[in-house]
This record gives sequence, structure tokens and C-alpha cells, in this order.
Amino acid sequence: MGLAQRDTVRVVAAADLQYALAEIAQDFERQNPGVKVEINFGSTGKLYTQIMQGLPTDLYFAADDAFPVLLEQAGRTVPGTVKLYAVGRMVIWASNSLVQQGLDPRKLGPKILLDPRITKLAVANPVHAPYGRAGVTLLERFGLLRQTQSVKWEQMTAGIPAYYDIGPLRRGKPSFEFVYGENISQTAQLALTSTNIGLIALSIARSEAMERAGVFWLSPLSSHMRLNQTYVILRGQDRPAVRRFYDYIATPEAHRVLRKYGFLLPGEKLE
Amino acid sequence: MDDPVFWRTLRLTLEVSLVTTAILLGLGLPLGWVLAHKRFPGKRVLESIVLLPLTLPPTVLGFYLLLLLGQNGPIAQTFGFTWAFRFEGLVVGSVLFSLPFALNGYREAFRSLDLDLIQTARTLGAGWRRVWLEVILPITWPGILSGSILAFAHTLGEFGVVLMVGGSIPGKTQMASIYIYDQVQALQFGRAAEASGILLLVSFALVYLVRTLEDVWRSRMPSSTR
Repeated sequence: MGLAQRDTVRVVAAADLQYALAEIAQDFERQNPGVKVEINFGSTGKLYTQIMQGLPTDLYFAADDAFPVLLEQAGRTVPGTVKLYAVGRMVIWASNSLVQQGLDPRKLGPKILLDPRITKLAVANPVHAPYGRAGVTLLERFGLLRQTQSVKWEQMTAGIPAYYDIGPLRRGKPSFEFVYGENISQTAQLALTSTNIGLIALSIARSEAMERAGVFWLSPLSSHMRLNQTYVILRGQDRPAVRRFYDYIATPEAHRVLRKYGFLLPGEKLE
Repeated sequence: MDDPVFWRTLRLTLEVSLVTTAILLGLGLPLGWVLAHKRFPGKRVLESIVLLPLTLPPTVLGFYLLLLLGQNGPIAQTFGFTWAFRFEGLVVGSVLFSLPFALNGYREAFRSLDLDLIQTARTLGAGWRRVWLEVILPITWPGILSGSILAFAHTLGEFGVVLMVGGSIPGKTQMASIYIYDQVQALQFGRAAEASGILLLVSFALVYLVRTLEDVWRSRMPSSTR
């Protein structure tokens, strides 16, 4: 196997892929000794902006389908290569110290947020992080947050407070504050090191560091904005090595890794 | 430190810092001289502009540079190249951001220079080249060096500007501070701690060097100027 010449595949990817994609890339490199995969993780929205500003990259893995489509509309992609690779899942993660206080998200679910001892909640910044948007819709769904103004996400320039009211929460308990993470991985870090609780991706909650430090409640797929995660080849970068990694993502081997980190696969139905 | 990416990152960081410091020498020495010894209209405006990065949030500077150097920016439109997300972009950002640090050192060094000495050398028939090499530099080098080291150290630890202009491409535009940030985000606290420790040591060594140079410099200056 292996390609004739050495080649580096440059990838930018949503932060929820931090662990899964790194593992997939490792497997891929082992099978294709001539190819190196370099991955740069960040929030989907930030990476989109960087690509529009000329960030040199071959593949873009987003955490929702809106951004690759925007890129395609701007003529920045190889036409027809936007493809679903996984569906993201959200969890409410709480640290072991909260569990010891009787605040166990596995038993309480979203009700955990109504406890007066919860004063801060880590959420990815909904302005540019899909998991942040999904997190907001999750809170809305459970009546913890009320939209005060109908605004398209694309028009949003500020975070939650401008368009949402945490009024429903104020009844009966002091409201919690949002602590925004730049992407879902940093949100997990905030939950781990400061807030003790956060809305994060299942794929991050399944990482060793998070499993060791806390537990989570898996939110039903229907309870938040669906995280259809798509990827795309960028214009002018359709080289054999890039195409090979692109195709590898859809193989049973890559699917096994994605499943291990809790992603739902294309065509799979859970609920 | 077992991560090979870190060593590539550190090498890149040192390269950016070195190139930046070299450019700052070329740019800052004449500018420092002018600010120390010349009077002209608009001098305060010029001083304010070059000192602006001291107070300007780094992300503001980085954002403007990204617009300037990016794909749709005026430079790309006019000259057809983009420096965003490249080594060159990192250097441009670093030069602007570290300029005040170099300049402060250079200016103070030139200010403390006794101009009579230069006059004397000139009347004795020395050309400007000789005056620079044999009078100005031998007296001011500790100040120039400490300005350069400070600029170097400052570039080494830069974050906001390089994050905006460079993104974080491992081995290409990922500077040391961003590496640490990325490792913390990836919950690799051990690696972040090791990398931070290495940067701490380097920074300490550089500051120690600057302090030593300052003492050397003081001891050389005639007591009347203190």
C-alpha cells in the first residue's frame, strides 16, 4: 500500500473530534506509511472564518452541516464532497465532587440545573460553536431558557444573554451564570477545572480525563438541535492522499472509532 | 517532553523571535535615535503610534492584521499574496507587537549618550560610520542588547496576535504559547505543564541576562549621568 510520494494531509476539525479523529488519523497513517495527517482543532465557526481568510488546509470537519454548505456556496470546496460523517451527541457532565454532594446527573438529568448549588454552567460559545447552539436548544427544550426574540443564528453577534431570558430559572432558585468556552474542548476544560458542570459533547465526555473526573447524563437526540456533522474537501486540494483519507472516514474501521466515542453514524437510528 | 510537535513548535517560535529581533534592530535603531535626539513636528504622534501596541489589546492588532494580510485583504487584492497563516504573517505581527519593547531600550541607550563625545569625534575628522562603530555602539551596546532581548522574550511568549494571524497549524504557525493553550484544551495538563516549565526557564534566563547587562551598562557610565 502507500502512495508513491510522501504527502501531508492537512485537516482542520471541530473540537469534539479531538480524540476520535486523532485516533482515526493514527490508524490511517499506520496503513499508509507515505502519508502524514496534521490536524488543527477549533470551533467550527472559527475554523470556517479562518478558511475564508485563507487558512491553508485540505479537509474541513465541521460539527454541524451549516458551515460546509456556506463554504460550498462561496465556491471554496470541491463540489459534491460535503458529506455526513457522524451525528454528535450532547451530555450534561458533572464532576465527582458534585456527585458526592448528591448532584448526580445520571439520576437528575437536566433537573440538576435547578439545584441552587449550581451557580455556573460551562457552555460552548453559541456564536460560533455548534455544541453551544445545541446546548442552548437543550436548555430551551427543558424550559430552562426562554427565547425573547426570534433571531437567526447567523445574525447573532452576541451570546445567549442578548436573546435569551433565564427568567424561568429565577423562580425558586438563583439563576446560574454561563461560562463560555471557545470550543467544546475548552468548555470541557472549564467544567473540569472551574464550574464542575457543563454541556459538552459525548465524544469529549468519553475521554480518559473526563471519565476519571466525573459522570454524565446523555441527552436524548431529539432534545436539542441535531448535530449533523459533515466534512468537505477544499477547493484545489483534491490530491490522492487527501481523497484516500476522505474515503477512509467512511470505512468500517473509522466508524468503529467514531462509535467508540459515542457518535451516531450516518444512517443509524437510535431513538 | 516526549511530544515531537512541541520541539517543532519551539523551534518555530525561536525562529520567529530571531527574525523579528533582527528586523527590529534594523527598524528600531534609526527610529530610536530619532526619538532620542531629534525634534520635529509630529514627534509625539509618531511616538504614540509606535508605543500603541503596549496598550492595544493583542487581539485587536491581530484582527486588523488578519484583515490586512488575509485572502480578501488589500494586500492580497493589490499584490496577489497572502501572509495570513504563514511565517511571514507571524513575523509582521511580532515586529509590530514587540516594537515598543525594543524601542524603549534603544531610545534610553541613545538618550544617555553624551553628545559632546560625538561632536569631538566629528571635529577630529571621524566619518559617521566610524563614529557609530567606535563611539556610539561601544557605549550603547548593553542598552541595545537588552532592548533586543526584551523584544525577543516578548515575541517568544506572544499569544493574541499570533493566534489571530497565524491560526494554530502545528509545525507551521503554532507558537509555543498557543501549543500550551491547545494542550490545555485537549486536557493534556501534563504536557502543558512541561511546556510551560520550559518557557518559564527560558524567560527567566532572558530576564536574568537583561538585568546583568543593565548592571554592566551602569558600571560603564560616568557617574555624572546617573
